[in-house]
Amino acid sequence: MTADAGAAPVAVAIRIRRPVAALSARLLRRGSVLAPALVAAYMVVEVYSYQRNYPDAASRQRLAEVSDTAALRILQGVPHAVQTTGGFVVWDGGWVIGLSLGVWALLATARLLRGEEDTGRAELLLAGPVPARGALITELLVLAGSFALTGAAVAVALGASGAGWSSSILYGLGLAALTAAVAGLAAVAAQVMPSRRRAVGAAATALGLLFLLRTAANSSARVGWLRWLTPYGWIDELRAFGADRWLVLLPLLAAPVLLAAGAVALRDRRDAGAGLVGGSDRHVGHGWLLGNPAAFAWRTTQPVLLGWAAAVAVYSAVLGVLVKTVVDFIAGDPTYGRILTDFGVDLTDLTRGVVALLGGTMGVVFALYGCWRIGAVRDEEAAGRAEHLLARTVTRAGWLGWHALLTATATALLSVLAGVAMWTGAAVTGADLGLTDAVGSMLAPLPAAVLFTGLAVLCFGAIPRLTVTLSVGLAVASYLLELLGTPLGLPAAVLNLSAFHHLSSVPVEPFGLLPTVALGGLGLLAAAAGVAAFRRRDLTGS
Amino acid sequence: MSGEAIRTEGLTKRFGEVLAVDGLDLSVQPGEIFGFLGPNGAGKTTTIRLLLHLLRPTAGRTWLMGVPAEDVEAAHRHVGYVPGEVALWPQLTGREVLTVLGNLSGRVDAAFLAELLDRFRLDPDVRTRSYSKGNRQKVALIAAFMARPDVLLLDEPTAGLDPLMEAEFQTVAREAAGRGQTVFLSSHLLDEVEDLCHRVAILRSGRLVEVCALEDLRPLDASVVEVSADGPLPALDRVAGVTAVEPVGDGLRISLTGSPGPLLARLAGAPITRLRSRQPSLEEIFLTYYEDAAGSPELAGEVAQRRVGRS
Repeated sequence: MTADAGAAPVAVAIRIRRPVAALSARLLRRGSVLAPALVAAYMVVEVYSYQRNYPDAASRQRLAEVSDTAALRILQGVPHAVQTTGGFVVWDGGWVIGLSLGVWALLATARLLRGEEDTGRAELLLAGPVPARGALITELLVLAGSFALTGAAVAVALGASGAGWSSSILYGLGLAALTAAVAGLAAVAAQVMPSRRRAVGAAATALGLLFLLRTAANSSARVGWLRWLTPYGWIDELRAFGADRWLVLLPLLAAPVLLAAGAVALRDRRDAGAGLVGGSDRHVGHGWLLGNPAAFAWRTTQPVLLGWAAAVAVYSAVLGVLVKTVVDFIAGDPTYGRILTDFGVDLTDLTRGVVALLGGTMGVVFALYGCWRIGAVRDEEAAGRAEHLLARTVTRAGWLGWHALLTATATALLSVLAGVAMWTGAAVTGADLGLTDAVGSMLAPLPAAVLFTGLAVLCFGAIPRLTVTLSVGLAVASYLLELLGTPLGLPAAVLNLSAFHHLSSVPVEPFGLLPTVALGGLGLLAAAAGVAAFRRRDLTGS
Repeated sequence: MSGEAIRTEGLTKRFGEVLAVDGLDLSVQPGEIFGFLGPNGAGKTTTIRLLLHLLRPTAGRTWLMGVPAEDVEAAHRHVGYVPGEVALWPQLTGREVLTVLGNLSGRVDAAFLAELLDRFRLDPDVRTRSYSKGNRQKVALIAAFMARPDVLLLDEPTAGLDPLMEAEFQTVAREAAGRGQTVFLSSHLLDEVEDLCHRVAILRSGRLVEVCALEDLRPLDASVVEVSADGPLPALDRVAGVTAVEPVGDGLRISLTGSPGPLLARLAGAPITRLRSRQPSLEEIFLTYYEDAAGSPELAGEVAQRRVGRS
């Protein structure tokens, strides 16, 4: 205290907050390096594929015409400057980047602001001289720094690719602000909800609604005003590389600031480790699914599965609604048909071709579900909860085996659900799509999901700390290779490395026995090896 | 081997460069309450996790009730376990956790469960996320005791319990031993060990330095002599029977084995104002064992060797 007497109050405040900032930066380190690197790499790939596929003014003019149609507006957004490199990248890849960064920011924010409290680690920090509110402000500033870094990476990647520096900076700023706004939602949810899990659930629901609002706004000019209700609409309205409307940055920058201020204001109204809602944990449990290891594995996975089921059903239904629009559009435009042929779509059977393509895109979603569920099994071990079971009559092989089997079953259920939801959406709009075709298209990528789930089990057995990182990384890399490999003209030997490249395009092609047996068999082998490795290693903490 | 509740032969565990447990030979009889002591990092938790086969031994073997530890399905039918760090499923209530753990132990005695809930004063209809450390500990204790297993492996079982509950734990543990169940517990609480345990093992840097009955730990011929003086005292460390000398206040505290004759002969003529002799406390005995890592290895090692020689 005496040493502080002469120092300016601000200097003291900064000094006592520095450890909080350092710890937050340390906890966010991996994502803060990976996110900018991946986003910048994606931008460069987009630039390259644009310059390769649309080399001259004529092809760019054609693209400008076909991109501004109802179906593509709904899927990708309203094009503003697709005849320029930057404008194309923003239109073609912007929504993927914005959504991915949003999910990352949401999870990272909830983990830093709430997960640390749930584990009790935050109390070590809060017992120090920094007030809870001051700690929260510091953590929010560190998060903001991480998002600024990501925005800078985007601006530099685009600017250096020759897209125009001023517009690149505008778009980088917009993307950083959009990411920060989603993080702001998570920060508020982290104050309101009683646990990290529920904060993630609430913020993810909000994120989904905000993105759907943008999709709805893009469906027709009549409801275009909806775009002004969501940050995902604001970033479209920046019209980067077109009109460059710098003023629209105002709501984008204001949203995270206001949300962060709200979170800080709410922080003083709650206790550490508690939320503003859900005070009482007194509760007579229903006592279901506690009888044996398999039932209990199902019990611990069920709430998450229900969340995924809801999201998959809504998304697949939206895809179903779009089928007819897309088909009508392609039928009326030979140019876009050629682009689709590039992706391997058979133009003679358009509805089923489009459905086959959509089923393929869901494959990565099912694979990620599998990897993350095995990651949750790893969390059970790392937290020490698995010990209670494995110190009783549950064997290692039984415990891990049941979790792997239930994950595979849940993945199959999710794909059937996706097929039924897509069929329902298509039926509502009067598309000519059979239920078996719809379900078949969603079941087709299952072998790939089994493969990546099996690889996750192998990671869990052999290198448990990398269970999620490695398996999710492989699944995403494999999917991107298949997605971008053909347009980039990569050789067949490289394309064959992607598991998704070997899937049958159901319902255009019949369900292929060979890829199913090969991919599924590899997955089963990897899972068996993972179980064997798990039986031979020590249980380890985090 | 038959008839022993816990047996290890040359049990060894190496984590990379670190030898956590080094050639452990243990034998615990049914109905025994066995205390497992040692400073932090001595390898107590590692040993318990090796007994459960949660860790795989680098060398050596282990049996629980005659069943090899690696046959977990058969061995664990005999076991109840309280881990050193109790983590529970936050979304489940205490009762749900006890239900699933009871089902997985294979034996559920509803009446005994109700009795234990009552005796440990645990409200089971609360999600475990809102339990205090003490309440989580109670859940783990009840889960371990309610199945009446043959062997209870308890890693610091009273951590976080209040003194009343600590006493209740001791009663429950004694009742279990009375029924022929074996209680193997690691602890830092010497009072608890003194009250409860029939035998103790002392572990230091992964090696056993002592296994003996509690009364043998405090040998009858050991004593502590405290002398106060108002002048200089002669050097005492070479006197026969003296094992340790440390300055306290205006005098010395001398640890002594056997006859005090040579010590008194050396002190004759010194300006002594007060002389007091007493039995060493359990704490003083343990400190002799524990201090090795920090301070005088030769002396502690000597003492340890002498004690092992006695048992």
